[in-house]
Amino acid sequence: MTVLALASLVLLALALAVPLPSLFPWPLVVLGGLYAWSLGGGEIDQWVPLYAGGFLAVAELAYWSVELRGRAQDSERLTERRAALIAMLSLLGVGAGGVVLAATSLDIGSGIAIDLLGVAAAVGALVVVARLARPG
Amino acid sequence: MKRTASPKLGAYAGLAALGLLAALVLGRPELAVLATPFALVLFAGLLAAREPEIRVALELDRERAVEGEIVTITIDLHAGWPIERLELHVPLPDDLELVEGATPLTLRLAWDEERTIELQARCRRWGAHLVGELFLRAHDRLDLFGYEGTVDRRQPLKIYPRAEELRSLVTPLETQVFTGNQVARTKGEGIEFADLRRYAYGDSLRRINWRASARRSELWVNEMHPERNTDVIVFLDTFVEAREQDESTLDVAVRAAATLADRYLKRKDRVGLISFGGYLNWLLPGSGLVQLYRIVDSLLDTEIILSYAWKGVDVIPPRTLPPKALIFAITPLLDERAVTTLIDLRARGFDLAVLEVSPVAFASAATGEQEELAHRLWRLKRDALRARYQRFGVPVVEWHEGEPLEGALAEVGAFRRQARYARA
Repeated sequence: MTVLALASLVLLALALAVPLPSLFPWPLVVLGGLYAWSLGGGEIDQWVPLYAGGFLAVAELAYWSVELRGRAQDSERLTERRAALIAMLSLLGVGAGGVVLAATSLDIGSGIAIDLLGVAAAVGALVVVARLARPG
Repeated sequence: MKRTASPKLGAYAGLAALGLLAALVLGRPELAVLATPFALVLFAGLLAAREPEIRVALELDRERAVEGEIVTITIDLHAGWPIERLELHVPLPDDLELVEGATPLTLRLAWDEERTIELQARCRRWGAHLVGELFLRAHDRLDLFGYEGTVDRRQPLKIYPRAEELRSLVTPLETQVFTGNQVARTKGEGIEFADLRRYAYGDSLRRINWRASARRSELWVNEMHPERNTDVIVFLDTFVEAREQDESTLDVAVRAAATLADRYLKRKDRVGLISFGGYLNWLLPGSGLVQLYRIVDSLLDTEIILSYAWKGVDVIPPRTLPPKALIFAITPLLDERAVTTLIDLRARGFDLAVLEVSPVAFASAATGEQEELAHRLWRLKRDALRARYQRFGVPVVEWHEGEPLEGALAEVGAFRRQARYARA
């Protein structure tokens, strides 16, 4: 597991060095998979909202580093604004994660119907994303 | 403006979907929690995405400038909606060098904000340009989308060659019939004394030379030299040029041509232009400020167009070569066609002077014995060509870039005063 974690870090470092933005999500996928594996069948991890905020911060910082390399001269303090925005997004991510985690404690039953509802919700979300992301 | 998705959009959508699906499959809500921030950013960004409304205006502080002057480019921006990050780029032609301001530039525009950006550029080289094509790229707050577009606000900018100050010019041998500033060799109404002659009926009494009349006991009158204008044709050789980095013999030649045209026109002479090269261009002789602008505008279009077709004197329209005109050739003497044409013109009796824009400084330094020998032979060949012109009575002066033009013109004048014409 440690080896895989290190490999994901190396992959992230390589993606930043080249740079290759298309590679940025993959270290996070690997780390997420390792995290899921480490959970096993145990109790719900209460610290997971913090990890979620951290994951978002890593992704935002990675994309920002690529953007800064090709950026033209700033005429005002855009760097400070962007840093503040990333910090705020991470905090909001932690908060939203906490809300979702709290929602998991609600008892709404179980079964295939609920699972199918979840799948439909996920697919529906992707459809909405695809429609909104259509090039204008 | 065209909307494009940033790499982040697809990545966040994939991460959110993967997390949610993995949570369902593995039954671990933690994975859904991990996916939540990405989904949150995604939905927030998609809902807030809106094509920016931006108005752009561009203005140059002038349409005409001279080499070395600074031109100010003012860009006015107005945003209807806030734009978190706007990248603005105004590509400048190579002949303009940015001295103040920056392009490309990144800035932020608030709601209904108007912003003015000033760029200052130095005119490095003469030429005619269109300045003002703007490239814009706007990003939303979460950087999920980019909006790119081009705005065409191009305006003409003419950069004129820098003219030198000249105190004296090469004087044509013959004058024309109109009034000008040059003392003619003929006799007529003027202020320069020419000769004495006996009084004839109808002569003005003010012309009587009383001293001579007293000595001769009869009336004698003064005869004067009138002031007349001359015709000058600037002959620019544009077959080939010698170039080193940003400067070439053509750049130097065009500046010299502009200087000469300006000075001769100020003397009330008529000036014409022949651009003799791959592309033949000419202007009939004329006078005044309008003719100066015509000549300079024509010079701005001058460029080297490679051509292997033989060209001689017969392709030049006869009206561009008035009789008794001084043909002032500015040439690097690199192309045989220009060399032969000038000799032809001299053989046809035209008054000719040649200003050789020396290409020696633009040639690469010789390395090695063979190259040095070749370089020396080349220079000897050029010396022989100059001697050939001089045998025909044509003054040829080698002029190096950086030396004052006045010195070269003085040499031409000195040769003409002492020249002995050889048979063609």
